Amino acid sequence: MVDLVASQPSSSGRGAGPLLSVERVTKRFGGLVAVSDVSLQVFAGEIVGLIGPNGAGKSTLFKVIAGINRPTSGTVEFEGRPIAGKRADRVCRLGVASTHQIVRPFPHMTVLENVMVGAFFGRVPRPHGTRAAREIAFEALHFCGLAARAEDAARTLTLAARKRLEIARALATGPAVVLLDEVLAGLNPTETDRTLELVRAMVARGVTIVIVEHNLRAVRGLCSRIAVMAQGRKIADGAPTSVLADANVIAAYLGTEPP
Amino acid sequence: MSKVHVARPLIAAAALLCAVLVPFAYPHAEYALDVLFLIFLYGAMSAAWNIIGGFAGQISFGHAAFLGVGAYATMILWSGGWSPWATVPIAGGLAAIYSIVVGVPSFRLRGPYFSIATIGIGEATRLVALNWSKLTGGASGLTMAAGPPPQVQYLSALALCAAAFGISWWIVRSRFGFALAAIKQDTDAAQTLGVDTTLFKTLALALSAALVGIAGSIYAMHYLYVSPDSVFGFSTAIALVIMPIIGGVGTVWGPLIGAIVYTFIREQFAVKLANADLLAFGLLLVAIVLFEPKGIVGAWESIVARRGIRKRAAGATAGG
Repeated sequence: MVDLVASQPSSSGRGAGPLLSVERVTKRFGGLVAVSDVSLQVFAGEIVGLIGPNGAGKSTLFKVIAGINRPTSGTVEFEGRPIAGKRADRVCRLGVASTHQIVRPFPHMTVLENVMVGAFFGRVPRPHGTRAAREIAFEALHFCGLAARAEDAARTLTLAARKRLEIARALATGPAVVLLDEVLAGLNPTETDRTLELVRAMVARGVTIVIVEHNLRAVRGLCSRIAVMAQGRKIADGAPTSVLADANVIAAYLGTEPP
Repeated sequence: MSKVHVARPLIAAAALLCAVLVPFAYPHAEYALDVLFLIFLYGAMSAAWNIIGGFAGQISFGHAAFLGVGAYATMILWSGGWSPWATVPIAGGLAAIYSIVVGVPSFRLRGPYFSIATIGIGEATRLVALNWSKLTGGASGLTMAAGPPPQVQYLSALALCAAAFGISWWIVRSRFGFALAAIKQDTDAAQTLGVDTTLFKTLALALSAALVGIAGSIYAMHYLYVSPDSVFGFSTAIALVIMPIIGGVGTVWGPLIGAIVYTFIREQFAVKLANADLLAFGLLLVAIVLFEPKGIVGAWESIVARRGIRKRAAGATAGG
């Protein structure tokens, strides 16, 4: 059996400090402020939901954490080390993996080969042998219920399977934190339940999850904590029931009642 | 499946052994030896181009620059009193260093924009060679009186070709090859999975340029003459792109097949109809782009696949 998830390094056991810490991050695109002064802390073992209306800045915040976008100001720390402004591949190798909102498998590779890329290049130290990478990839596919499709071309998968492939690839990098960007979008209720089960199983194996999601029913059942963004700002952060009952949150989603 | 995996390296080893024996078995077949020399030299360059252009998907129209750097390095040192063989590693090393210097800024561009930049690199290098007459002899180039015997040239081209294909064979099975394939298919997705895309593109380019630079060294020993228009010319750069495309971009053996077809067509037309070879290559390229983007190897594979399906269908009917 291969250890899919790198065991929590002893260096991260620095008391109760957050695993991932976003401090006063702002991201501007020209005149548009996509993320405005947002702080967010994620502790090991949590499932944090990040919700908000379209255009609230959730995906942009994810891209800042994952190293795809550089923040205009503010800091991001992972295991106490600053990661803001580092390239995406370095952030991944440090242990923060992410899935794409629009799934992008490598079209001319098999499902297994897709996951092997993550196994080869994820969090250091990595196994160098092809055989070891194959084992890690198989384990990730098995975990995600895709083992039977290992030898199929990635482009033949259904949307639901592609979304699980994204998760399998991220998992094969051996991450401490996985950022899931709308992995439930476009799935039917059965597929949604399977994916939620998968996310819970990931947490049970020691992976910390931050998930952007529009399906509020799913988020309420899944997350230990929810942060809400609207118009680039964080407007609430706390336990699911209290956050979803918050007047500001309801106003952001539904608008205010006319007087 | 496993039968094929054992058989292919064995066939390659047997073919290599036969090729090594040719100059000993037929010491007087000078023309045939010359044609085979060209096939192996161009085969090596074609396989080298395929590392960055085929495996990593970064189409370069500037590889003549690396051929020229290698060829000039050998000519300059050789005329300065060096043994030509001692210049071989220097030719490869200089070409690799030059490729890193010009490649790192070019890799900030992607897809067709990168390709356009490589055209500029090739032309700029040619102009430098043309005008730096103190070092390069300017437009008239550099010449030497006599080189190594043809049999030795043949064996060195064969060794380089075998090395280039051995490296290609290894790449597609390795972690390095996975990085290049991921970069080719989706650079952004590769990066989010931890692939240092700039590093691996640069490594692939340097490896490719080193092999082409060594080919340039052997080229200089063969022709005993290098000039900006011969080694740095745009038609040389295009030849390096045409061969792998004819044979099969991104496949291991396609570049060798492309080099054979290329050398054959060129030799035929050189005798009968000068410059009509360009027309033949043009038509061939159009046919490949329209019908079989993976070249001759791709066409062969789809024929085999179709036969397999037919056989299975026939077996199913017979069994049922």
